[in-house]
Order: sequence, then C-alpha cells, then structure tokens
Amino acid sequence: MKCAEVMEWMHRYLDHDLSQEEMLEMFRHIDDCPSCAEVFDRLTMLSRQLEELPDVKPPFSLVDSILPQLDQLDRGVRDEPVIAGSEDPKIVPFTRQSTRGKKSKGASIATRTGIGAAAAAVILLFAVFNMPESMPGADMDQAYNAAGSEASSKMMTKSADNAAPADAGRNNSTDGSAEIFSEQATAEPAAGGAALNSTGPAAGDSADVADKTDGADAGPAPAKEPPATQAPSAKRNATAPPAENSRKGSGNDDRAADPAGQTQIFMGTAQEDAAADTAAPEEGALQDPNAAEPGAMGLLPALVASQPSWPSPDGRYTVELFGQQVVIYQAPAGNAEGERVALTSLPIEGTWVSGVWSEDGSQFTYVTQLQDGTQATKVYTVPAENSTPLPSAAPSASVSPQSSPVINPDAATSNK
Amino acid sequence: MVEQGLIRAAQAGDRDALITLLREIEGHVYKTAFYILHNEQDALDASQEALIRVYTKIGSYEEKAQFKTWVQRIVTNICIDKFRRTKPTVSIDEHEMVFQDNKHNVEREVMSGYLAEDIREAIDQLPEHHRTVIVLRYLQDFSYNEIADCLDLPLNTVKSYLFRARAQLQNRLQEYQKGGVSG
Repeated sequence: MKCAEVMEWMHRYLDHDLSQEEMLEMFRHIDDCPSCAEVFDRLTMLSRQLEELPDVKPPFSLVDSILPQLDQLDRGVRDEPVIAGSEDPKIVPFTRQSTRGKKSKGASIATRTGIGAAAAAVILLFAVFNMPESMPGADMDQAYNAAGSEASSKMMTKSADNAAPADAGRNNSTDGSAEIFSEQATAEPAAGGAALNSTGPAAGDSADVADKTDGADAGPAPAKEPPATQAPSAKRNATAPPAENSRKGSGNDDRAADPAGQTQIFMGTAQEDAAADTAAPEEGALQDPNAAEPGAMGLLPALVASQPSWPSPDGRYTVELFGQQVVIYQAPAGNAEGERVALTSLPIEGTWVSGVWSEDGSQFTYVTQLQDGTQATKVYTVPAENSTPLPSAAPSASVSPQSSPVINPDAATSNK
Repeated sequence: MVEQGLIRAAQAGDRDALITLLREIEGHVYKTAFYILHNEQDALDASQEALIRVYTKIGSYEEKAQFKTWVQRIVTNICIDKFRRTKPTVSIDEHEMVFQDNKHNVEREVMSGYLAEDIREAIDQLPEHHRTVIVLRYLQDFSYNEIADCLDLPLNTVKSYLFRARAQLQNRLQEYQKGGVSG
C-alpha cells in the first residue's frame, strides 16, 4: 500500500468513511511508516480540534429582528404573489432598498444620512399643523396649492420660461426623477434656487425663486412679489389680490418647506437623497437623479399598493390616498416603461369623503369632512403643460374612477 | 433535527409554524455564516437574509431533500456571494497543497494542539469552497453526501475539497506554530 493512498484513507477515516478492513489495513501501514504516522497524528489532532470549535450563537434573536420585514413581505405577497421558483438565487429578500441591485447602494447610503432629515420634516409638518392661527385656512389652502405647483420643476421651468429663453440644463431634467430633485434643490438656501435660474436673464424671477425657498428671507421686496405668486401658482391663484402678498410672504417658510417635507415622508428613501443633496453642491442634486429613483420607486409601490386610488380620465395621473395625505402621481410619459413619479403630496384635514377628476383630467376635486362636521372641498390642478390639451382624448367620461380603486395607474383605462 | 410535521405545516401556510421553524434553524444558519464569513456583522446580515429566503421559499422545498441541507444550501450560497463581493478571489493554485510535503518531516513540535483562534484564522485563509466544506463537515456535522447535496457538487469533488482543505489547514497551523515558537 502506497503512502499517498494511505493519506486519502486517513482523511476518510476521519470522516468515518472507512470500512473495518480498510481501517485495519491503514493502521498496519501506519505502524510501519513513521512519516505516515506523524501525518496521521497531526490530522487526527486537527480534526478533533475542528470538531471542538466553539459553538457560536447570534447575539440577538435573528427571527425577531426580521419579523418586521416578514410582515412587510406578507403584505407585499398579498398584492403581488411571488412565484416561488426553486433555488432562484436572484430572489432578493425584501429590504428598504430597491430590489434593483445596481442602484441600491446609493439608496442605502442615502438611507442612513436621511433619517435626521425625515425627523426634521416630521417636526416641521407638526409645527405647521399646530399653528393654525399663524396661517389662516385660506392661506393654508393656498400654501398647499402653491406647494403642489412648486413640486414640479416643470412649473418652475415654465415660470422662468415666461420671461427667459429655455435654459438647456433645466430642460434636460424633465424626466420624472429630476423633477423631484429640482424640487429638493429649491428647498435649499437661496444659492440653490438662484442657481436654478442663474443662466436665465430674468433676474426678477430668479430672486423670486430664492425668496420662496429661503426661509430666512421673511420680507420679500414687494416689487418682486407679484411675479412670484403669479408664476408658480397662477393656475389657481391668478386672481389673488396683491394685497395678500405680504401675508403669503410670511408664509414662505412653511411653503418652501412643505414640498420637501411632504416628499420626504412619502417618498420613502427619496428624502435621504434629498438630505444628502443638501450637503452637496446644487448641481450634484441635479445630476444624481438615479440615486433617488430606486429608493423612491422601489419603495412607493410597496407602501401604497393597497391604497385607494383615482386615476385621471386620461390615465396620465393617479391620485392616491395615503393616510392623511393625497399623493399625485404622474404616469411615465409616452413609451417610457419607467415607474410613475410622485408629483406632489397634499395633506388633508379631517376624514376623506370623496374625490373625483374633472373630465379633462386637469383638476382633481376632493372633499374631506372636518372635525366640526363641515365638509371642505379642495381642488388640485395638474401643472398646465402637463395636462392634456384635448379633453376628447379622455376614454370615457362616464367612468366613475373614485369607486374603483386600482393599483396600477396604467390600468386606469381598462378598469371600470 | 427539525420535525417533519412542522415543515409541512409551514409549507401549508401556517405562519406560526414557519416562524417556529425559523427559530429552530437560526442557530445553525448563524453558525455556518459566522465560520464562513469570519465576521459577526457579515454573519448577521447573511443569516437574516437566509432566514428571509427560507421564509419566502418554504413552498419550494421538497421533501426528497433533507431540510437541513436545503437550509444550509441557502445560507452557504448567500455567504459565498458575500464572500466574493467583499474579498478578492484567492485562486486555488496559490493555495495548492501537496500532500507529500508532510513527508519532509519537520522536527516534531509539541503536539499540544493549535489555538482555536489560529484555527479560525486558518479557516479564514481557505478558498471559499474549501472553507465551506470544512464548515459543513465540522460545524454542521454533515456527511460527504449531505455536503454534496448542499453544495450541488459531485461526491468526489467534496472529498477532494475536504481533504485538501484539511491538508492546507494543517500546513498553515504548523507555520503558525513554528512562528509562535520562534517569535
């Protein structure tokens, strides 16, 4: 028997894989071969020590630690059943990150940095709701409408475009996620807002944006105020008397904070990107839309999938009720297979009663019941350049969208 | 050994049974992850991921396989993925061991045994598959066949990995020991 052969048998012996005869034969060889005997001793010792490696226990209950994720999974499974393929290595467990791995890293980094920002946003909203006397109902309404308008960079683009030629950089950022970022950028101190318009010759508009976004600037110059109120919120407030400008000016803090705050709460991880961006140069915010996309888009469907929704008649928008917030989504443009983009979210007061789109899909009217029993009606108007110019394009005016919750905005036209 | 009835209940949609099942296996899952990844945080991440995967895939488990090898397959896959992502691959050639080396009979050291930490360190130096078979063999007490099932490898490959891994471990530990004596 050769030593090499014995060597293998030694290993098999250690693994209890030798028959009785083989064992005897091996030991006979070892008795006669000092070098094999030495190897055998070492191997035996090693194997014994490997068997004695200390047992390790997790420092906490792993099952308990994943229960929240499992619950979330269960909710997700109910809406979109997972096809259980056997041993599919591509099944990625549910995490707060996107399931699209290549982008998830940015989101996860942002996740950590954004928690503080989320908390700040919650506090801010809380403050808004608890100081009604400093913000009368009408102004509140207006502020929210303005917030809704501001939420779209297209609105801002338009307001600038009214006075200035199109800014190439801004036009490049017309895809959905860029809108979010433009919006975040406006929440930055004046530098960010001004940068948006820095290439535009309209100095007045540029300053207006800065006024709106710079919370510290409580007293905007009256000369600049009219364009500020008429441009972004012209759709609904075109008749707003100039006399109100000063009050609106004092509300600018809240108004500027609202788009960011609401988005942070409902965009899930998107707010983390926003938070990261506030520390980054403004162009970083604009150039980094991809980082926001996976987080926001990956999370939102999971969060709101079971919420009641109201698709607009033309299918381009969907309104969803999420707790005490109304979120307006824009379906991806044209052939884009991308995910819908949240244009804005509006807090609602009291309990939800009903909501309905206008026939041409340009306005969403919703009614809430306030605590004192009265009903409040509010209207959200989609940004003008986004709304369909042809009401006749609406598939059916008789559809009652509010009575048919649908998950997918794309299904709006097929869902009765 | 996990009770077959519990597995069936879990597969039938009994969530409590499934959670109980996860609690029964979490120690085994963590142990494998810890010894393969050699790092508590990574091991926790990998084990959580593995448990979630068990949770979501319980329906795809078939009784023709042993439950424990099915579970270990999930966790080792995750660990190997993690391992590849975090560490530059060490080619097996670099670690190629010649069994006959042992014949150059080095002077006999004190056979007092290696330090457990040295052993862990040495395991950590092994190429991923060698390390995995060692962990399954010694930490999970798996047989050749069970390891082969778990890693989807031919039986002979499992043996070859295991034998090489042991030889490598032994050589490395001998180096440590000599280093320890002289230094």
